[in-house]
Amino acid sequence: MGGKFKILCVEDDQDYFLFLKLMVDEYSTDNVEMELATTAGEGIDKLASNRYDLCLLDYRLEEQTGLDVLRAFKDRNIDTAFVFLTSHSKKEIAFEALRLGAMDFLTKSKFDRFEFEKTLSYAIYKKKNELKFEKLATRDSLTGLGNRNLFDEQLKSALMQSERNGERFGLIYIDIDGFKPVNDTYGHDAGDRVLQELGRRIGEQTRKSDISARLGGDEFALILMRVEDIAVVDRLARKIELSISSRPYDIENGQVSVGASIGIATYPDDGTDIDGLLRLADKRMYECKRGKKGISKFAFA
Amino acid sequence: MEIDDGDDFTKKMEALKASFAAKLPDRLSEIEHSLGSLKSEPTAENIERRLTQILNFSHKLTGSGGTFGFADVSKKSAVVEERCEALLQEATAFRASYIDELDGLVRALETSIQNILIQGRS
Repeated sequence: MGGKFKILCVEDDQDYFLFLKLMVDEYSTDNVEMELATTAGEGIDKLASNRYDLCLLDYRLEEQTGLDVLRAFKDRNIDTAFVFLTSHSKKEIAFEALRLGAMDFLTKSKFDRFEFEKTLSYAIYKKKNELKFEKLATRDSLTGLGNRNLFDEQLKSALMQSERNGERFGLIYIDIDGFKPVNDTYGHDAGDRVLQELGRRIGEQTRKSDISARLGGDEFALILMRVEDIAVVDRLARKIELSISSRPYDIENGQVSVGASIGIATYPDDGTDIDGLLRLADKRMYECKRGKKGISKFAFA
Repeated sequence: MEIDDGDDFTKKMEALKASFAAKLPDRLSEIEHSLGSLKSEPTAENIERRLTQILNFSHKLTGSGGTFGFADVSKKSAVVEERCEALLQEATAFRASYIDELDGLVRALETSIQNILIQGRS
């Protein structure tokens, strides 16, 4: 599981928090981080502004109850699993908590360590699975780059962020030249090896903050966040073209070469809506492809 | 609660338990303070406020008392908590006899806490 498993404990009894912390530390010391909120309001604020994997939620808090916290997040899409803690086994309260979305409930006065660890391990297992599915849904399994889903989502975020902060972002479209003959002549295994290597070479050129994705077939794209100068996008496009075309690709029984046609567009210089920017980058990429005969060129923004 | 592993864990648990036990008189004082205020100023507003406080204090004690292995404290505290809950929901006027009854329940809790402190000293 990437990163720490984060737990928020909404509990107004400091001794009980220390007890739960000891239990959690005993269960897993390495990768779990636990924070405390002592009121329902503080709990709601922390849950709204941070990512927690699990919330251990006490029922009776000073002014409100844990049910109020659950109600605050009932119709909001947050990733936190809630485990409700009650002092006694009051069926109606526990069922109300489950109805409001709690994953489980535990009785404080009859605390059972085994039950607690079972609940904790289920929450961690559930989180790991969610991350696995999230990865499957957003990653291209062949190259390890993002897939079209991720690219589309990130492009929307890039637009929102750039609009809000008055920043520029760049879009790079890459179409691989000469890839089809590799597939047709040497088969799909050879094609896959070339795509994997392409993914590696493209990934190598990008910054951590950039988004690189394989959109499908032999098409790749990049989003460059917080670009101060258009020349940065141009330079990166040239570096990528060079890394793709300057060295051959190893396949079984030999080597093959491919090139790249690249089109770039930047926000807000070339447009302020996603569809317009995508169309422009795509158009420039095809202009580049048509303008050459096997030689990579750029269609400058 | 079953503890079946390492010495370190047992030591940490015992330290938490001792710290909790040492603070029991403070927890009782909080309840007594609210009860005292309820007795001296039995207005509708103050009764509701103080009963809610006693309910919250006793609720915490019920949960953590049971967790740290003080079953009797938890049980006595739960009785106080439940009585407060019922009194807060009662439609009838609050009578002086309720205060006496609540006082008796808090005294029973006090006895239970004193027993723990005496056991801890012996």
